[in-house]
Amino acid sequence: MLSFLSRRITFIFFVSILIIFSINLGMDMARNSDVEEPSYDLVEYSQSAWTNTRAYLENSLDGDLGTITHETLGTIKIWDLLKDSYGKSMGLLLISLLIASVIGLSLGAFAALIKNDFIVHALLLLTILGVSVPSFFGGLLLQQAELEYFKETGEQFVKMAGFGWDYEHMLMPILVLIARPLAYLTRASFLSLNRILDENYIRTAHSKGLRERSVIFVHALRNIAVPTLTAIGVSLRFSLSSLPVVEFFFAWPGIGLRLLEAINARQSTVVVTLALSLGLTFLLINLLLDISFRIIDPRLREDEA
Amino acid sequence: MKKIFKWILNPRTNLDEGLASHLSSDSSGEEPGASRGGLTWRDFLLNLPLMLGLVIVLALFLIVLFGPIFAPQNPYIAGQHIVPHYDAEKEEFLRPPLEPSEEYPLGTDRWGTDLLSLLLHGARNTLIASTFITMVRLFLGLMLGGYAGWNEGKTSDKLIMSLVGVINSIPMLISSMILIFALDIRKGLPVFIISLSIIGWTEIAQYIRSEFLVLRKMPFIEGARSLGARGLHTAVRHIIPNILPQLLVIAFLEMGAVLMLLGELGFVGVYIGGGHQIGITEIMAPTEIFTLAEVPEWGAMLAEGYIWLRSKPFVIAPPALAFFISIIGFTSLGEGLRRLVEKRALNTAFLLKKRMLAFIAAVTFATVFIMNNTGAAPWFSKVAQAFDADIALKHIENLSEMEGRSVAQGGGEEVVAYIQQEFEDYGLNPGWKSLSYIYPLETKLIQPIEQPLLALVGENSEIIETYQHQLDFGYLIEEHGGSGDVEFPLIFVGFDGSETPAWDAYEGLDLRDHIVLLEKGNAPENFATEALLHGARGILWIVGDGRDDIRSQIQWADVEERQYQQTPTLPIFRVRPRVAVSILEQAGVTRASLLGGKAEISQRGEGWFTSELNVSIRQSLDLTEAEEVEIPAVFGYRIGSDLDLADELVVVFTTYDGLGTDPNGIIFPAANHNASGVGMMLEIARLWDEQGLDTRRSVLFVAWGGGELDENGAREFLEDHFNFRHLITSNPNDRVEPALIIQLDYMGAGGDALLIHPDSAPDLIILFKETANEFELNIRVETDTPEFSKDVITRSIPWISLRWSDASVVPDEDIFANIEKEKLQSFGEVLSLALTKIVRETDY
Repeated sequence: MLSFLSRRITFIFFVSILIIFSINLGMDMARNSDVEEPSYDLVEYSQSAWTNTRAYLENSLDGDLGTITHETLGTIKIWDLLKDSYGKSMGLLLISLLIASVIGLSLGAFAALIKNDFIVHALLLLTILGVSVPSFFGGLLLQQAELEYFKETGEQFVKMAGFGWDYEHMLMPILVLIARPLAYLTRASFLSLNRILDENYIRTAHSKGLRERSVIFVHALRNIAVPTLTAIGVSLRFSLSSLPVVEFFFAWPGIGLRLLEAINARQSTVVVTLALSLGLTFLLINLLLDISFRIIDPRLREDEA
Repeated sequence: MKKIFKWILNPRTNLDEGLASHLSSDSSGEEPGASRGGLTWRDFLLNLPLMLGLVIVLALFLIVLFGPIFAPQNPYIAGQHIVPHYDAEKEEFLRPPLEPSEEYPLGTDRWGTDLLSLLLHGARNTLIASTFITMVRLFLGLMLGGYAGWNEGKTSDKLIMSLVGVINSIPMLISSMILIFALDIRKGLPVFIISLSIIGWTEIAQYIRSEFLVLRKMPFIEGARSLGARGLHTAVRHIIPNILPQLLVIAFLEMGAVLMLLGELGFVGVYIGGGHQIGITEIMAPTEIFTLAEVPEWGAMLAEGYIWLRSKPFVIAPPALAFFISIIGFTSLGEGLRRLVEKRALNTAFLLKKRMLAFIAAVTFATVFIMNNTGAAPWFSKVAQAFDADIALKHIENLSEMEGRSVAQGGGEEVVAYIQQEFEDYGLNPGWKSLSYIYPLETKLIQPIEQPLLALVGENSEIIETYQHQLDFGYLIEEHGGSGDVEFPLIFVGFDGSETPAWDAYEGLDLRDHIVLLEKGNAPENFATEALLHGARGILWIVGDGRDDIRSQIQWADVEERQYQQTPTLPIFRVRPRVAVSILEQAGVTRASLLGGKAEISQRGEGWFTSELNVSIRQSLDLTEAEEVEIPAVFGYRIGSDLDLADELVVVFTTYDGLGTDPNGIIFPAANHNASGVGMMLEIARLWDEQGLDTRRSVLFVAWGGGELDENGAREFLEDHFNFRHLITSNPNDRVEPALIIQLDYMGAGGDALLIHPDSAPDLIILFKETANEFELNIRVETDTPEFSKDVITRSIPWISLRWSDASVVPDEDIFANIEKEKLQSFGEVLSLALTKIVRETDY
């Protein structure tokens, strides 16, 4: 376990440096592309990107990433910007993932267990529709619903946009963020449970005369834990990717929105900082998932050797 | 039909059993009919995702191919109609984006462009882009994933998988956005394909790698290896066919993912090309700068719609829905196929058969062909083909009836008023200081009062033969040329020295009471003055057959040095070779023998000789005093819409005047030279106005006076950039400068080929050659320049001059009846298409 951990942490460290380097390189080139006749001297870019990377690492070790001038926030420390937006984004992300996991896994399990053809087919078709909803389209639908509600009653049901830790502000972004993970998780849990229920050892358990409940909870669920957790990891990737769009749509001042602003303003340091924080979040959660796989499934511990 | 389906979908028999355990079973296995032996219609019809996906994807395919045909409007050429207008029914001012109405089924965007048309045209760009991206992703994923899987555990595997880890760790939207900006979004589609492929191959690679890991250990692979098959061979020959069904599934799923990413990118304002910036100037308001998408594309439509997200959601709804439906289509087609694959009922071996590959290639080529014929270029052709020769013909007829349109005789005023009226009708702006269409220009002209006379006379002054002014001869007023009425014997002065004789070499030359006959090219250019000093009373120059060779010179140079103390009294005529032949016949000598000194020589000096000719000539010319005359030019200005390109001025240049009317009443209608140039120019201005073409570069239509003068000032005017400083573009910081000049002349009659002036700019020559070839018109660069002798030739600005071959005729033959409609039409289409490319495309 220890060697596995140390290997993974070294990997994360190198990936972080690569992220800093490549984003510095990309932003350098992007700034250069804005001028009339850009040059394409890759060596020069790489050198300056490497200088920037080292400077960035030194600064972050000193704990001072400097300040930037933001359009609405004025002059602000990058570190403060990160803290502020990171919390706001993770709030949205974790709540939506949590809800999606709970509902999605239960829905999938429910469908697998009742074995009703019609429901299964309908659910599978719905999950296809669900994973196909682009976040901007979901947002548009919700906005339209809100407008209709407003026309009917003359009252706002929830707020159209903006930030606040209350359901008025969070409902719509969370609903949009939930859509794809929910569909994906429903589908994944249905498929894995459905397959497991066909396996020989389940039949054996049944024929041993075990009660249905014990078969499912003891034999089946333990075995779908790993694929399910993997699916949650994949959903996290989905959500992270559409997070900027959702935040952009609902003017939620999270990390995604700030990233888009920083990219358009070509503020390298901000982009590096925010993207790195997202990258590290993704890598660390994956690490946690990997560790839990090893705890759940003893077979996976073998490949350390 | 059923047979074909069965053939496509018959069960795979050659697959190893071990694969079955790897592939998870999606269906609950409840369908008894779907045994592994075959596939029934039931399998198809019950596979709802497959049916749904097939219907949507087929519909999208049809829209990609034929959508533009059904589009009510053409976004490639539509301009901006952002002017608010008053709606009488609603009693309010409306300005785009307009809500859905009968005219615009889905409403319009901010520029007044029909959203339905944008959607139909955009489908092509968006879906083609995502297909390309998907294919490159598949290729990269297959190569890298396969390589990693085949070399499991080796350094290359670890490197590739680390790369996957790095790329996966940053949200795809962010990383692709940075990459697109880094590679310069303005480069368009290639940048999107490269960026989204570099970012997006990882998932496919991970999947392919895992497939390779499983298949590599299969008995049939080991069997192949033990038989001596090499690594690459095994992989291509045995593994690829086995993962082909899954690859097909992935391709469709990936298509959905790419569309999703393209949509999200568009929504946050990143779309193909990045748009070009245009400025909108309103009265009493500063110029606002907007970004306008260059090509219709769904992502760009989302970006446009985001501006109106809350207030006018109908702008963003169509593209958002289009993305949603297409993503559903591809995803569910992929899922449906996956079910078939997992039942192992889908045989994809047919994909590798030769006839299938040929079929796919044929479909691809057909698709590419249709694409190529419906992009921006075909629309330009459509605009060009709307060129109406009848209207150009009508203009030429009207102009031909204006008594020769001489700037010196008053016909000029009429034609200037006519052109100005047409410019106004076609929505062109005043081009001179933005105040007036007319650029005032003056020069000094001299006109004949009596009909000039050239005649061959006998011994008793009886006239043997007379010659026609403007057709057989014309007069010169330089080198002391002027009025006079003389009748004297003719003497030929020839030159046989290799060098021009010095002034003292003429000692002994006696030309008293003679009219001197000279041959152009043989005698020194300025010999007329020398002849006057030696007593000559008149001069005849034998010149060439070119139209302008004998044109009477009516322009009195107002430069100080050319002003004379005394009014000149030496009639100098230029005559055509046939006149010389007729005169010499009477004298009993030939031109060649005269020139060669074979005729009887009367005097000889250093390098010169004279031959007395046994004929008499009468020359009569009565000219007015030099008078100040206006030769106004007419300017029509069309403002370019593009912030980057509007400061580049395309000058479409022509002259409008003719030789006018002779004192004896003969009118030279000058239909081909140069009513045809004006007619063509006016028709192009009308065409652009009618078709609503949005010109990105600014255009100045110029009808210049003084085309029949030696010096009309056009070159100096065009080369002086200050003359264009007053032309306003939408960007107040811009200074318009002429970028290129296109000169129109002799467009309605002549031979069957287009000629290009040899000194034209190479880029423009290529452009016009290509364009003419599109219309299968003969075009060539004319190496022999005399036909072009009167063109405006500037050194500082690229220019091109075109005309029909053999178009130069004697002035009395240049009549309206000779103008051919077909010639106008074919030349008009070429010109219009080339000009459309020039004003629309960044690099023409």
